Amino acid sequence: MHYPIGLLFDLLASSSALPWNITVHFKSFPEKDLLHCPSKDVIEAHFMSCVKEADALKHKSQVINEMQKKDHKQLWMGLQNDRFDQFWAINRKLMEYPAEENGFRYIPFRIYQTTTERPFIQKLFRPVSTDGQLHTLGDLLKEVCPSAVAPEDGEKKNQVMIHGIEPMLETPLQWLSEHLSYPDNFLHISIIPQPTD
Amino acid sequence: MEGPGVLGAPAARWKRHIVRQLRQRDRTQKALFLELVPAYNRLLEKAELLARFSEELQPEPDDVTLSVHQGPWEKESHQGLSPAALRVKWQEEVEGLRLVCGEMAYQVVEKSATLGTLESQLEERQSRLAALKARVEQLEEVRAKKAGQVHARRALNEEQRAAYEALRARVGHQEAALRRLEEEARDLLERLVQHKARAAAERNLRNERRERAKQARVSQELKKAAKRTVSISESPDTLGDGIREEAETLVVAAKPGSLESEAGEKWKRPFRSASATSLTMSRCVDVVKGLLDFKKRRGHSIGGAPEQRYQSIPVYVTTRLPTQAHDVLDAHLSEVSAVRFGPNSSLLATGGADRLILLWNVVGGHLKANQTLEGAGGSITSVDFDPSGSQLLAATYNKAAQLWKVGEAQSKETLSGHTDKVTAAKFKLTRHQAVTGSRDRTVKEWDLCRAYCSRTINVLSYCNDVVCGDHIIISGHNDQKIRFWDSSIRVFSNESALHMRWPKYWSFSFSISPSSEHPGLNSFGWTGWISLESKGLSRVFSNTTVPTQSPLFSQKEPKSPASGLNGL
Repeated sequence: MHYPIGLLFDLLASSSALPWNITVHFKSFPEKDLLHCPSKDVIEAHFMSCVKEADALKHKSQVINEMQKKDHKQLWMGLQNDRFDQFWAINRKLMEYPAEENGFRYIPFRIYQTTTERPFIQKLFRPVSTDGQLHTLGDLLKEVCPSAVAPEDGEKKNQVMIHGIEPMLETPLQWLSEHLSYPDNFLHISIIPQPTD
Repeated sequence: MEGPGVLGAPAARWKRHIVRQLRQRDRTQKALFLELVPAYNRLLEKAELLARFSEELQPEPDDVTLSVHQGPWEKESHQGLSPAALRVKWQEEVEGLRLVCGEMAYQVVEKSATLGTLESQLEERQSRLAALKARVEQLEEVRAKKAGQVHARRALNEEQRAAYEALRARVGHQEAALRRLEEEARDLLERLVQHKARAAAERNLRNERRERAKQARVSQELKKAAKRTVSISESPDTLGDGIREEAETLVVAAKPGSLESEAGEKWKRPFRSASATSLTMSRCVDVVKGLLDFKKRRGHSIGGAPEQRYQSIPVYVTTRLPTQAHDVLDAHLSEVSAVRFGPNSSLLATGGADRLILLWNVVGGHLKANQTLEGAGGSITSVDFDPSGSQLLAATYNKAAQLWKVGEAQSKETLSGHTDKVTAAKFKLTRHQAVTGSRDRTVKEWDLCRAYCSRTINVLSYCNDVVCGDHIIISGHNDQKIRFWDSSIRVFSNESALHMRWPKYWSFSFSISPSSEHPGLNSFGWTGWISLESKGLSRVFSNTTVPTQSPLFSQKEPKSPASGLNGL
């Protein structure tokens, strides 16, 4: 579960008060569940693979393959050194789409739920419908994870959280993918039970 | 690291919702820890330092719980590690810092002092600058004023230059006009000269033609006359008749003239009278009286027909010596030698060397041109009106006297026969008779009806002037004699000459007018104003009848050579 930390917090500890207390284990690494991280390069490779996968969904990998090696490096260095400008200079290209289409080919997203055994839901989903309408978050959820969406009449059982906020279900998916993606260009969506407070 | 975030001014509802949510999240989750994390990092570093220090110092009983996740952290964690050494160290640091602070304070004071001086300098500079600015303004004003003056001067200059140019242009125009006028004047003068020349040529031509015509006629007559036979008898009557018959209407020319003078000479011999020629005064007077006496008639008179006389109209007007000329006129082309008033005083005739006689009317004290009589063959020496005022007789250098009718410009008759210049020609009081005197030492009497010379008197010297009375002819001569001739007698003698101390002027004239005091007696006398030379005269004739005025008044000035004396 090499997930971004924010995602993990949203998923697992959104109700806990900040600062988040985590227990760091220095012994008994769970070999079966997790991969070792021998060096920084592994993390970089993992990050880059996520980026490529996202771009494959968005642009059929055209944009990411056009970039040079130094651009990929720049992406990682910007992320590593907390340099947004450096990062965004390259990442912006990954957020563009040709003018004749109204959005990406497919939206790279993963929906995480704690209640299921499945790690996440990732499916092909177009941002624009056949009649030109932009799909919303609600459409995605209905399509992909209908159980997450509360029925109209019933009370809301789950919270749909991205980046610690709960956007409205009518938010266009294309927009969410462009603006609320994680550095690896994925929309990591957490479905958590509604807090009872 | 969280993904790229917030937009600005979202329009849609979901955008606004997202923005709100993000803001809220940041508030609750981020802001509290924004400063915490870097502070914590710094603390971490310091903790490492401390850890190193603590290896040398004994561990304090107080537990140092490195709780990273708990909120408040204190500097008390530092206290546990060798407080004394730290205190010492820090006191040193404090001292150092205090020193530094003192130095700084001193520097601050210094700097403030320099600042003060600099400020005062600045103020001084500024005040100087202000003064200079004021001065600059003053100078600017002065400059502006001067510029204004310059401008005004220039305007004045322009005006004057313009005026000057205008004047120059005017001068140019005037000069051009002057030149034009001068040219015109020259043209006019040329034309005038040409005109005059043409007129003169014309006149000459006419005169020549007339002369030639006359000559032709005369020669014809002569030829005719030469063919006729002449019978000469001794009787004066028949002689006269004979002569008269020969000469017809024309006056004889040279040859018949000689014939006639022969005849005249013949007469003279038998007819010389024995009249007294005494030179003494009283006897002169007596002689004169006798000559002039109408009652005495000696011999036959010439011409059997009863003589018609003009009634003389005695008009006496008070006269004075003329003191100034009333009117001055450039009348003739050259000198004027004869001036005569007509009998009724309205007409004046002037004749001169230009062979013209001009008639004038006296109007209001000025002369007005009346007529021009031409045709004279030579310069005119004297002019005389006949008593009726209708005819005019002029004596010319051309050895002839010519007769005009007043009103006709051409002379009708010429009395020729003299052999030299005719100096005087006068009408006699008897009609149609005239007397001429000339330098050929003859005085001739003419009968104008028949146009021939009825008598010739030979005198011994040039006759300068002739005066006629009823029967008397007085002639003045170059030999200082005045000779009296009785025209009623046939024979003239020299005895009646009166010698006068008379300075020789080459012409002088005198005239006689009848006086009313002595009817029937012509009297004459000399007035005192004849300043010329008449001193002797006045004395001589003091016992003559007192003269009275005469209508005939010479307008010539007494001083001129052609002076005349008027017998008044």
